[in-house]
Amino acid sequence: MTRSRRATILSYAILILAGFLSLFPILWIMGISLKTQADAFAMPPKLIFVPIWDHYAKVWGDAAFIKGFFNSVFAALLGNLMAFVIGIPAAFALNQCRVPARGAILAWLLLSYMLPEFLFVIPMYGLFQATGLYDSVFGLALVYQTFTLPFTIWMMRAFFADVPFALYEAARLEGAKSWQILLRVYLPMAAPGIAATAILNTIRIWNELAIALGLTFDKAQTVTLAVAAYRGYASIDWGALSAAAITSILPMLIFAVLAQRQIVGGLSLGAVK
Amino acid sequence: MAAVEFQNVGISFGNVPVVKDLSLTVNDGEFVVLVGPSGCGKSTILRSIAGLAGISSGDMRIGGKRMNDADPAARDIAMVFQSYALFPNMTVAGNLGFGLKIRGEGKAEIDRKVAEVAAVVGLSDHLHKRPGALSGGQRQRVALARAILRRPGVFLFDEPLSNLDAEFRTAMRAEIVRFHRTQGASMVYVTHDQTEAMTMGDRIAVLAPLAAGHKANLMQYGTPDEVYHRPSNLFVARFIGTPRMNVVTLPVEGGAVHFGNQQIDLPPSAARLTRIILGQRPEHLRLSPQESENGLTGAVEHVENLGHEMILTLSTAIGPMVLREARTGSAPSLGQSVQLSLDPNQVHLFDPASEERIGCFQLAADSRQGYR
Amino acid sequence: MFRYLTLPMLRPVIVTVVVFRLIDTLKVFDLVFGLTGGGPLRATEAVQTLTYQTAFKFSNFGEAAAIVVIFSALIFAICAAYGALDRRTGGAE
Repeated sequence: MTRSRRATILSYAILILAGFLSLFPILWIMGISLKTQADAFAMPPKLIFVPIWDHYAKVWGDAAFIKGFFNSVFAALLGNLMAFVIGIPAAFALNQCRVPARGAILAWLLLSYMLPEFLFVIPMYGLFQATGLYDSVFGLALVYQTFTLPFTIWMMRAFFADVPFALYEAARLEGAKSWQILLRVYLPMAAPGIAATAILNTIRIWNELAIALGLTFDKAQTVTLAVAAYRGYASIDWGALSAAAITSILPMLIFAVLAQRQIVGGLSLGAVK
Repeated sequence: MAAVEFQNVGISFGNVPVVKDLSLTVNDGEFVVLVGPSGCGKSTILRSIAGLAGISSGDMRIGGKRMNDADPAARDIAMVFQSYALFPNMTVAGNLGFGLKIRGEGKAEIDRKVAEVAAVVGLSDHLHKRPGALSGGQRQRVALARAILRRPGVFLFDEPLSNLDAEFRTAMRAEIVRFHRTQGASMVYVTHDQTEAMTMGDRIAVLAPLAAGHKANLMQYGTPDEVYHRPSNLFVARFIGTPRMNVVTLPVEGGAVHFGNQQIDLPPSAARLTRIILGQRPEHLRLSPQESENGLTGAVEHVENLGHEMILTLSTAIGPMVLREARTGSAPSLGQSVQLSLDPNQVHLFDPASEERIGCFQLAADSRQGYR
Repeated sequence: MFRYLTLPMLRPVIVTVVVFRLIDTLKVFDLVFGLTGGGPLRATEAVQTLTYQTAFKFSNFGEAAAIVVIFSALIFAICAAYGALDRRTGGAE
């Protein structure tokens, strides 16, 4: 066997193993969500079974879960909206002023990624209670800006930098003001970048647990908390829990599959710039 | 009233001066070319007319009014960028109508004006296309049309032909010149290509970079003829004309210099110097294959046969010489020894210290004495 | 070949990845909270789960804040060390 062939087989073996390890828990959960309680925990594991839809029916009929699901949707929408409303003009201004702020933004971005979530939750708990933002989707979206805002500014700055400066000058000569140039020239050209950033922001917000746990009580519970709620104190409804988990994964899964190209492009662009 | 007027203008980027003490006037309806090597400030000067580069000192007037700090859109100018700067996300119609839309004109009015100008440049069939689907020449025409729509007093061109293939450049050059003739507006055109400058401009401004040690940027400002036949300094003499002018520094002996056996008497003002810079263009040098009394001996180093003419590079005792002559018979062979002589009417003299022009001279042997 | 050329050139990237993953795992919360909630009698306690417990179960916000601030300082120190190391070795980032 030649050296390169051996290397190829080795790489494939590792990849398959890694892929399997990543996918296995999800497949297993999917199995539990479709099996009866008895089938789910049968030893040895039953690979061939008759699927039941009871768990899904229960979860989708549960008002609390539905509320959690839509709270996540609103949090993602609101979070993205805030990040773009602030982030796009900020990135545009940074580009125009030619301020060498790249280093500062990168530092901000990495910092927001590195710091523990409870560093924000603890102080915000008291603050939110006092201002009435506690247990609100708006409050959540606000705190989410700690990571969506630097990321959005980072990405948008990179995409805006791709636009040749001569276009800005030509538009200025035509009499356009800065905000008009941003709206009519830069935003349309950076549209794929906006899509990629929005998708990545959404995934991050959707999967967030710690901040939601600390800053909500019942009204603004997100889908992650709704899934965790199925873990009762006395016993655990495995079937419902699994169905809820799969349901919560589904939107992001579909999103990611549809927007694969944009996500990879967006991630790599962020790395290169 | 002049279209554009610079009065002792200086432009600096931070502490670095790029343009110093520039005084230049573009007359109404004139086609002026700013030409020079990289770093001479030509693009900066153009952009300062547009308002895209700030002026540090002096006055710049457009249409008689001081416009140093005026808003770029209010300067009555239009600019064609090197990259054409067309908006890729809009159609040709959208690109052309952009300025009108910003100014708030009605849709019907915009459509009418866009159709009108598209017809002028021949793009009526392409209005729905995006810039990406157009050829280089078509994109240039969109840029031109966009400029026309502004009805400016001055058109500014920033090296618009640099991105085109050589074969297109000639055709596009003619188009721009034709454009000037039909529009009749004043145009300021920047290029680094002296051929473009010579063929397109009513007047040429030859600029030199300050970084190379020159005191000011403007080396000469005149018609192509003036710049070619009467360069006011060595920089202009060497920059304009291809192949380059032959330039040698010769010692002055007894009020004359010697080009091999050929003697050239200098005017009184130059006779005082110990050394003098002498230049003659390749097409004015004369070649004679046999040894004759007057002239400089040279050996043929390189022959370029262009069909209708040939360009010879010769090595001589005083340095390499380039000569251009019509193909009459067979070309001289490599290494052949030939005799070079100067055309007495086409000698350019420059002061070795200031590199300024002294005058054109005739040979001592010729009884008609005088200088131009 | 791999050992003497590829691996050394991959070193800066490997170090970066290790640092990132280190910090990621240090501040783990979701996984631990979901699986064991800190474990039977804090057997699987992580810093952030401890913070959570201290703040919300025992209502001791002051102590919880102290825990998380010290923890953040630790993470910051790791980042700074990495940054200094990266700058010293020429820096790929």
